[in-house]
Amino acid sequence: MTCQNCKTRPAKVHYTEIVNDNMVAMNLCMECAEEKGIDVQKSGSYGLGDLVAGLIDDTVVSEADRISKVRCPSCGYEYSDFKKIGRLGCPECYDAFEAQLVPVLRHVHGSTQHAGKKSTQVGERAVIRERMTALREELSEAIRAEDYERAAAIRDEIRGLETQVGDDA
Amino acid sequence: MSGFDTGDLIGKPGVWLDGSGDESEIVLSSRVRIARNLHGHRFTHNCDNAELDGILRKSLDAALRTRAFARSRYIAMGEISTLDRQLLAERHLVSRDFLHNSVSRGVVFTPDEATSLMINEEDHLRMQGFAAGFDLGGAFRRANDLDDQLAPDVELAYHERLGFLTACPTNLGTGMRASVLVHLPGLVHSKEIHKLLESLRKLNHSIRGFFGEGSEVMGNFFQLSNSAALGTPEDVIVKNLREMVVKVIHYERRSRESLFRKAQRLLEDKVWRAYGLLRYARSANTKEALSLISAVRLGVGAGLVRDVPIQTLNELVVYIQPAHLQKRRGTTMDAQERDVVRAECIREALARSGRG
Repeated sequence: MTCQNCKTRPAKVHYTEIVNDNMVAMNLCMECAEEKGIDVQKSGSYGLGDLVAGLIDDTVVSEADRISKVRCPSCGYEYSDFKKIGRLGCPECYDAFEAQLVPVLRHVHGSTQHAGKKSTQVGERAVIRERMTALREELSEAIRAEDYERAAAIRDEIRGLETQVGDDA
Repeated sequence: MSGFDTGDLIGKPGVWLDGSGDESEIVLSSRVRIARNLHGHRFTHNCDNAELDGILRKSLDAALRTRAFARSRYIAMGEISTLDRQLLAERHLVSRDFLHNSVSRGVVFTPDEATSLMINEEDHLRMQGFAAGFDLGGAFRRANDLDDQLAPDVELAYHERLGFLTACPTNLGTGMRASVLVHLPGLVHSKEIHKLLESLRKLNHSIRGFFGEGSEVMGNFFQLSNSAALGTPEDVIVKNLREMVVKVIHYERRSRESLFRKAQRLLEDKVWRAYGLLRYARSANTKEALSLISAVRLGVGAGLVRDVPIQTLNELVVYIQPAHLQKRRGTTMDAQERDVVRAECIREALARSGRG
């Protein structure tokens, strides 16, 4: 198979691209693939992230410059970083770039509102374990200070938490 | 846990390829993947090594407490060779992303390989449930049970309105992708596959090659999956895909029947030629081998070839991949050498099944 771009060299890179909402099989040689900005060496494939990043250009064309400078206060990620690699920097980015992401979500999912499994008891035990780690430090401090009354109270609290997370064995 | 050798995996494939399960002549396997991230951390690609290490420690600690992973092994990607990583990728236990990125990355999986967890892939946690044949419910149960068991032990990145937060917005919400690996020679030969692709897209589903994103379609093996993860509850995602697959199976059957009606002798010839080549060829590259396996598989489905179980053909799809061949020989080999060993591997498997 020859490269469909230069039509001379053999096609080495194969992937499916979304062009105007249609999936199109692409067969390119290394040179043409690199020209198109596909990172052949690193990934060897064209990820969904890149496709999403490409899609943003179609949905948000105006104000591109101003928008790309928006920064996530938590991780320092810029919206332009997301456009470049198709991945966000941290969970907080979703709030930081909300306005820009809404049209993307609508396009990809046809929705902007989660439905399904909720995160009600998520992390419950993780929070307790963190509290236990803190208490253990307090306990050794109390023992060092020879405050045995306080140490006993802390020990009881730790035992209580241990039964809650099922670590008592 | 060092000193792990993936060599002990190559003798048996994951249970999800055993050819059992419903509609196994068309649907090889079902899979459900759930993506999650830890609260208070940047996404994997944006982390330095220290942060990755912290995420790995917390996740692994929680994973090893779950019932699902009671008798499971953890493999640190940084402690095994590139070839071993490739072998795990060929078995779908890790993604190809792990071939290039191995620092603070790892995988936990059950002995039957039906439940697995990748740590520090695109998302911090990528859980997978597999099932043989057309059994999306079984695959979902495995992944979802693991998620339920992990959830209390890790603080996850969750948003009231957007659901579970993921590095790529395509996975946002449920973090779930359900998929089936299907064999569609009928639709390919009758050129109806493009129509199918078009209608799947309209119904918010996508179709890809065997190895997922960006991979080439070989041997008429495809992966069908949901494309929307936000706004549809998990059980509905599974139900929608299931209904879609029922239709695809119906169309595939119809195409096969009409092909055999119109060109019986031609197809029989194609099937038996493929069988002959697999039985006697001395060299075959992956693409050719998969295309021949595809033809014989079609013959088995039509009742022409009777002495080759579907399981043997399913296993071959994995066994003929480069890393499996090299592990089998215990040495690295160039493409030409692999082609020779591949042909040998196929001949042996068919000879064994022919005798049984």
